Amino acid sequence: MTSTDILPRTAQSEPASTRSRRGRIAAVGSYLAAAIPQEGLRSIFARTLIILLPAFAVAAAIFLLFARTESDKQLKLLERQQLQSAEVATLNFEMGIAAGISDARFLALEQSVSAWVEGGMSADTSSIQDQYSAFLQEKPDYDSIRVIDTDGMELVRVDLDTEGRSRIVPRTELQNKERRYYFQQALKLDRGDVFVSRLDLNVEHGVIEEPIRPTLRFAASVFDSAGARRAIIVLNLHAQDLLWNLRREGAIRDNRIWLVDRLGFWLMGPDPAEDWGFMYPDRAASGFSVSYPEAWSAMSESEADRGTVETPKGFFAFLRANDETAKSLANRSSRGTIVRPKWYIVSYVSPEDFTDITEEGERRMLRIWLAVALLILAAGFAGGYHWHHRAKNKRRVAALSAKLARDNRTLAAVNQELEAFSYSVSHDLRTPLRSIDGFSQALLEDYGDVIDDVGQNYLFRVRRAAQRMGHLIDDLLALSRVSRVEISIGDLELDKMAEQVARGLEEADSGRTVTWSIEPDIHGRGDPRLVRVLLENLLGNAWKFTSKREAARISFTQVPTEGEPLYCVSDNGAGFEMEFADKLFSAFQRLHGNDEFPGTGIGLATVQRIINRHGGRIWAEAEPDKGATFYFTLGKGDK
Amino acid sequence: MNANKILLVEDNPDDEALTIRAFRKSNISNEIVVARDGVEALDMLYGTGPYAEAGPIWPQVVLLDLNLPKLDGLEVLRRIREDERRKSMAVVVLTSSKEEQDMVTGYELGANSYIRKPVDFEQFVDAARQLGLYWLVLNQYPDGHPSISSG
Repeated sequence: MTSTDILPRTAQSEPASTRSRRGRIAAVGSYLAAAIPQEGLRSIFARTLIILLPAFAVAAAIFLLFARTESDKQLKLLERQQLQSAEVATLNFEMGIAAGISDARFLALEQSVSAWVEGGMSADTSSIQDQYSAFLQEKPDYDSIRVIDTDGMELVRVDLDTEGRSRIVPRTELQNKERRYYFQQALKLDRGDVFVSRLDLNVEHGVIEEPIRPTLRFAASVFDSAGARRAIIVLNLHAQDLLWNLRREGAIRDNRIWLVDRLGFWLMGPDPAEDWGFMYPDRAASGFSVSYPEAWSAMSESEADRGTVETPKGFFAFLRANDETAKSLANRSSRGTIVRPKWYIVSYVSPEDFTDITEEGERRMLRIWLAVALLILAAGFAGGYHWHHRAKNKRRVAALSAKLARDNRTLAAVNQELEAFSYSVSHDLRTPLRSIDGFSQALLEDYGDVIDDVGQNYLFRVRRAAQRMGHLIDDLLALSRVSRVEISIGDLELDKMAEQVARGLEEADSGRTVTWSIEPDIHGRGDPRLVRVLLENLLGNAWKFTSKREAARISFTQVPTEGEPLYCVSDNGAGFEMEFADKLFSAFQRLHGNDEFPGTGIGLATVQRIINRHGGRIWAEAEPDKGATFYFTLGKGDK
Repeated sequence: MNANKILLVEDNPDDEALTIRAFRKSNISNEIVVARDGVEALDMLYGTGPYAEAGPIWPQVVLLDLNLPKLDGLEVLRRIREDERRKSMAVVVLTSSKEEQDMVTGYELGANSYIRKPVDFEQFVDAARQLGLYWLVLNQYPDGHPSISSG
C-alpha cells in the first residue's frame, strides 16, 4: 500500500463527532461572517450603488434637459421684461418729445405771431410776450420761448424761473444765436416742420448753466402769408422731468434705464459724473461706448430698432429713438424704421443680476433635483438594504440547508448506532433473563418439595417479572425494527390480512368467542410486513380489551371518503377516556393496569411509527366500557 | 452410539445447562456433546484439532446457537452445508429473539428448523417431528407416548 492510499482512509476514518463539530464550527463561522456589521454595511452600500448609479444617471439627464429649457425660458422672460421696460421708458421719453413738437408747431402757426409777422415784425412784441408768458405758466415743462429773426438775433424771449414764474427777458439781455446749430437747422425747415435738437445742457453766454439744465430745443419757422421765412421760434424743454421719468421707470423695475446719445455718450447713465461727456472736455473719454464697448458696437451696428445684447459686462435691452419716431407719435402715425437714431434707451441688468435671474430656473431645478436625489438615495439605500438582506438570507438559507444536510447525515449515523446499540442491548439483556427464568423454573420443578409455598410464590413472582421483561424487550425490538427496516410499498389485500391475524388470535386463545366482522375487499398500499404488524397490534388490542365482554365484537372496515382510503378498527371493549387519547401512541403509556389488561405500552407506539413511515395518520375515538375505534390512513402509497 | 449423539453448540453455560436439563427432564437420554464455539464445533464434527484422536462424529441433530465466539453459527452452518456428506445432517438453529427467527426464516441458510431459547421441550418435539427424527422422541418415551405410538 502506498502512502497516497492511506491518506483518504485516514480522512474517512475521522470520527463522526469530529466531523459534525467541524461542520458546526463552519456553520457558526459563516453565520458570524453574515452578521458582522461592517461586512453587512459594505455589502449594502455596494448594492445601493449598483441601484443608484443608473437611477442617478437617468434622473440627472432628465434634470439637465429640464434645467436647460428652464434656463432658456428664464432668459426669454428676462429679454421680454427688459425690452418691455425699455419700451415703456422710450414711450414716455417720446411722449415728452412729441408734446414739444406739437407745441412748437402750434407756436409757429399761432395767431399772435402770424399777426406780428404780417404787421412787419414791429418792435412792440408785448402781445407775443404776454401770450408766451401765459403759455409758460400753463406749461411749466418748458423754460423758455424765443423768437429769433432770420439773422439769428433773439427778438423775444420769455423764460420761466425756478419758482415757476415767467420772466420777459429785456431787450438788452437778448443774444445772437446765429451760430447755434438749432438755429441753422431751423432755417431749413418747411412750414409746419419742427426741428428737435439734441438733448444737451443749457448754455448761457458760452457757459454751461449750473446747476445743469438738460435741455431739448424745438424749433419751427414762421412764414408770412407770401410764404417767406420771417422768424424762428425756439421752444426750450426742460428735459430733467423727461429724464426723471426714465429713471423712475428704471427704479420701479429694479434695473437701470439709461439714456445714451447717438455717439455713445451718457445722457443719463449709472454715474452722473460721467453724463454729458460731449459737453465737458474732461469727460470726453467717458461714455457708454467706453464702459461697454461690446454692447455699444452690437447696439450701434444692429439693423433692428430694438434688441438685446448679452455681454460679460451685463445684459442690455435697447431701443432706438429719434425725433422722427416722436413725430410719428405726435402725428399718431405708425412708427417707421429709424435710419438715424438719436438716442438709445437702454435697460441694463448687471452680470450678477443676470446670473441670478437666468440661473434662478437652474437653481429651482437643482433644489427639485436635490430633493429627488435624496429620494432616490433613500429608495436606493432601501433597495440595497433589502437586496443585501435577501442575498444574506439566501446565503443563510444555503448555510442552514448545508447544516441541515450535515445534521441529517449525523443523525442518520447516530440513529444507526442507536439501533445497533438497542438491538444489542435488547439481545444481550435477554440472555441473563433466560437464566433467571430458566433456573427459577428449574428450582420450582426440581426442588419444589424442599421449598415451601411462600418460597415457591416468590419464585413465581421472579419468573413473572422475568417474562414480562422478556415481553418488553421483544416489543422494544419490534418497535425499533419498524423504524429500521426498509419499506417496500405494494398492493395489499387488507381484509385477507386481517382475517389471518384474527385466525392467529383465535388459535392462540381458543377459549374465547369473538364476533368478527371484516369487510370484504379492503385494499390499500403499504409495506406488507409492517402493515401486518400494524393489524396485529390494532386487532390484538381489540382482542385484548374485549376479553371481559361476553359478546365481544371486533370489526375492520373501510370508511368511504373522498381522499386517501380511511380504515377503521372498532371494538366494544373496555375503551378509554378521550382525555387520555393523546397519550395513546407514546411508548410505555398505558391506560389500563397490567393486572387488568397485560401489556407493555409499546404496541400503539409501534403502530404510530408504522403509520408515520407510510405518511399516514391515525387517531382514536373511545368511550369507557363502550369500546374504542381506531381510524388510520396509509398515506399516498408512493413511498 | 455415535449416531445417536446430539451436538449442542452453545457458549453460554446457563443456556447449556437449561437445554441439557430440558432434554433430561423429558427423558431424552441421547448423549449430548457440547461445543463452546464455532471452531470447536467444526473440530468435533470433523475430528480435527484437539479432537483428532476422537475422530469425526455424525450427530443425529446439531443444535446450533448463532452468537458464537471465533466462528459464528451461520458460518458453521455454511461449512456443514458445503460438505456433500453432511448436507442432509439435521441442524436446528437456536434463536434468542424474534429478530433471529426472522433472519433464519427470511434467508436461505440451510437450517432445518429453529427453536427459541430457552429450549422448550414442546418446541423441540415439534422440530424433531418436522425432521422425522422419531427415534429421538421414541427413546425418551420407553413406555410409548400416545402421539408417538400412533405415528
